[in-house]
Amino acid sequence: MTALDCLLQVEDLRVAFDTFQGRLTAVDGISFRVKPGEVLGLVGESGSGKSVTSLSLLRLLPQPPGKVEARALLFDGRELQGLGEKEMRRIRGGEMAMIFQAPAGALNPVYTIGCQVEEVLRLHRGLSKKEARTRAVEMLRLVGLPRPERVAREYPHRLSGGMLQRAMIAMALSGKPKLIIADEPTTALDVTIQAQVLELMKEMQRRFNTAFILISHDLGVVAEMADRVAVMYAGRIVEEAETAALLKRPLHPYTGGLIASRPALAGERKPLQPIPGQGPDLLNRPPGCLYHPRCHRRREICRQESPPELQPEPGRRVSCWLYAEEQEDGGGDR
Amino acid sequence: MRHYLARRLLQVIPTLVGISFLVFLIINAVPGSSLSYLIGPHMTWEQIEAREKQLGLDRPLLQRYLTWLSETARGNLGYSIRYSGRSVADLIRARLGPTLLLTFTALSLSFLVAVPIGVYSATHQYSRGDYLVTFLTMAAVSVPVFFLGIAAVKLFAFDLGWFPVGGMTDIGREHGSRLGYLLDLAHHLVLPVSVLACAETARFVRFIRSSMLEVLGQDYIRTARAKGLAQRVVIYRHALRNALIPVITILGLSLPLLFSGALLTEIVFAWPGMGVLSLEAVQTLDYPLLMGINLFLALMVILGNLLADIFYAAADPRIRYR
Ligand SMILES: Nc1ncnc2c1ncn2[C@@H]1O[C@H](COP(=O)(O)OP(=O)(O)O)[C@@H](O)[C@H]1O
Ligand SMILES: [Mg+2]
Repeated sequence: MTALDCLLQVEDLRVAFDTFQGRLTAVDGISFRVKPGEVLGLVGESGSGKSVTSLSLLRLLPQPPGKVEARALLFDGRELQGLGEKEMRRIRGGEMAMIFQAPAGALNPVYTIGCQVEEVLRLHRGLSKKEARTRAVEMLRLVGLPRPERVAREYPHRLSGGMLQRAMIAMALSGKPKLIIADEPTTALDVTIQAQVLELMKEMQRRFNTAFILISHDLGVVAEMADRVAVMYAGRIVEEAETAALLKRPLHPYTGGLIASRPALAGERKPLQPIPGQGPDLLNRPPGCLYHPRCHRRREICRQESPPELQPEPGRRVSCWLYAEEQEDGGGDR
Repeated sequence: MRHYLARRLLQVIPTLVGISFLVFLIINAVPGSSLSYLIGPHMTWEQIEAREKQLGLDRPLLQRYLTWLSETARGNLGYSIRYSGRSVADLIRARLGPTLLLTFTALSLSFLVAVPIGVYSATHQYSRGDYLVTFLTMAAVSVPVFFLGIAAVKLFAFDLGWFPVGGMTDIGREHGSRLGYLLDLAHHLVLPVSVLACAETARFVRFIRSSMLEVLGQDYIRTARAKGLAQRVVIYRHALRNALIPVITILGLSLPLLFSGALLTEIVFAWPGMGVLSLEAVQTLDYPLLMGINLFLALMVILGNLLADIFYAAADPRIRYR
C-alpha cells in the first residue's frame, strides 16, 4: 500500500495524560493505515486506548491534560497535525465523522433530532434552512427510521437506543464523510438491536463506499464488518491481519484469548475462557512484553525485552517473541 | 401540565396560612405591643389599656390570629395602627411599584451580567480569570448589602457626586417631558440597582459556572464538537441552553434573598418602596401592617417559584412531555 492509495495513515501515534499520579501513557506508538472504502476493526479490552486513539485523530482530546504526538497523521493527503483549528473543523463532521457509544447521552436533549441532523447539513453541505429540513428527513428515512417526518420533530428522550443510534448514523452520513469512526457503536444496545445497527452500518458502508474504523471491545462485532482487524493491548497494536486470517489462526496469545472469550467465535463446544488477570498499570509500564504477566506461553525474554514487530506472513504483523525465532530460522523478510 | 398547575395553585393556600401563622407567632413573641410607642406624658396607662381593649389586643393569641385569617380570607387586610387607621392594602399598594421596579431591574441586570461571566469562568476553568471571578463572587456574597449601600452612597453620591444620594426622582423638579422623567428615574436607579444586583449577580455566576462545567463534560458536547461546530456555537447553542435549565429554579429560589436585600437597599437609599414601610412597621410593632407585608412577600415568593417551575418545564423537553 503506497501513501497515495491510503486514506488515513497514522505513524507512531503517542498519547499521554498528565495526571495527579504521574504521566499515564494511554497510546504508546501505534501505526496503522486505512484505505478508501475499507473497514478497519480496532479491538481490545476496555482501557486499551481505542477511544483515545479515535479522539486524537479528530483532535477532540482535551489538551491538557492530554498530549498527542505522532510522526505522521496523514488524512486524504494532508498532515492533520499542522492544520489550523478552522481547517480541522471542516474535516470534523465533514470528511471524517464520528459515531459514539451511548446514544442517549450523545444527542443534545433540548434539540429535536431533525434540528441536530440539519446542523451538519447546513454546516458541511451549505444547505439553506429549508433544504436542510427536507434533506434531514431523507437522511432519517435512509437509515431506516419509520415515519422520518415524525422522528425529525422528536426530542432524543422520546426515542429508543436503537433509533437514536440510527439517527446518529444519519447525522454522521450527512456530511458525506470519507471516513467514519464508530466507537463502540453497538455496545449500549440490546443484542437484537446490535445486529440491526451493525447491518445498517454495513449497508451504508457498501452504498457510499465510506471507510470505517470500527472500534469495539468485542471481536465478534468487529469480525462482522471489518476487512482487517488491529488488536490493541495497553496502548499498542499487538497484531494486525485480514479478518478471516486473524480468526482462523490468531498469532498473538492475546488475540487467541479474545477469541476464546467469545461464544460465537470459539464455537459451541469449547468452554468460554475469559483471559485471566488485568491489563498493566499504564502509569508505570513494566519492562518486557506488556502482556507477559497474563500470557500462558511466556518465556524468559518476554519478561525483559519488548517484542519487535514482525511480519510472519504477507499482510500480517504481530508483536510477540514466539515468532521471532521462527522468522530468524526461516530467514524472514525483515 | 394543567393538572400539575392546578395542584400547585391549590398548594399555595395552605402554605400561606402556615407562613402567616408563624409570622404571627414571631411578631407576638417580641416584647411590647403596637401601642408601646404611645407611652408618654400625653397618655395614661388606663387610656392605653382602653385602646388595647378597643383594638382587641387583649384577646387570646389564637383568637386574634383566627380573626385576622377570616378577615384576610374575605380580602380585608385590616388597618394600620401606626398610620392612623389607613388600610394595609392601600399602604402596600402605594409602595409596591417602586419596590417591584427596583427588584426586577436588579434581577434582570444581574442575570444578563452573570451569563457571560459564568460562561467565561467555566470555559476558562482554573485560569487566572476564573480565579479572579471566583474571588470577586466570594467577596460580593460576603459583603452585607447595607454596608455596600452606604459605601456606594459615600463614594459615588457624596464624594464624586455622580449619582443622587437617594429617592426616586429629584424632589421639586419639573420634568418637562416623559423622557426627562425616565432619565431622572434611571439616574436615581443606578446606585440602588447596582448595590442590590451585586450579590445576586455573584450567586448567578456561581450557579452558571458550575452548571456549565457539568454540561461541558456531557457526551453531546463532544458530539457537537465532532460535528465541526465552532467553539462559540458549541458553548452558546449546545451547552448554555442546557446549563440554564437548572438556573431557572435558582432564579425562583433567589427571590426571598432578593426581596430582603431590596428592603435593606431601599432603606439606605430612601427609596419610596416597601422597605421603609416595613422598617416602620417593625419598629412600631404595627401588627396588621407587619402581617400584611409578610403575607404579600410570601405570596410573591411562592408565585415566583411557581413561575420558575413552569418555565423550567417549558425549557426542558424531557419534563414538558411528561
Ligand atoms: N482525560 C483522561 N485523563 C486521564 N486518563 C485518561 C483520560 N482519558 C482516557 N484516559 C486513560 O487512557 C486509557 C485508555 O482509555 P480509552 O481510550 O478510553 O480506552 P478504551 O480502549 O476502553 O476506549 C485508560 O487507562 C484511561 O484511564
Ligand atoms: Mg472506549
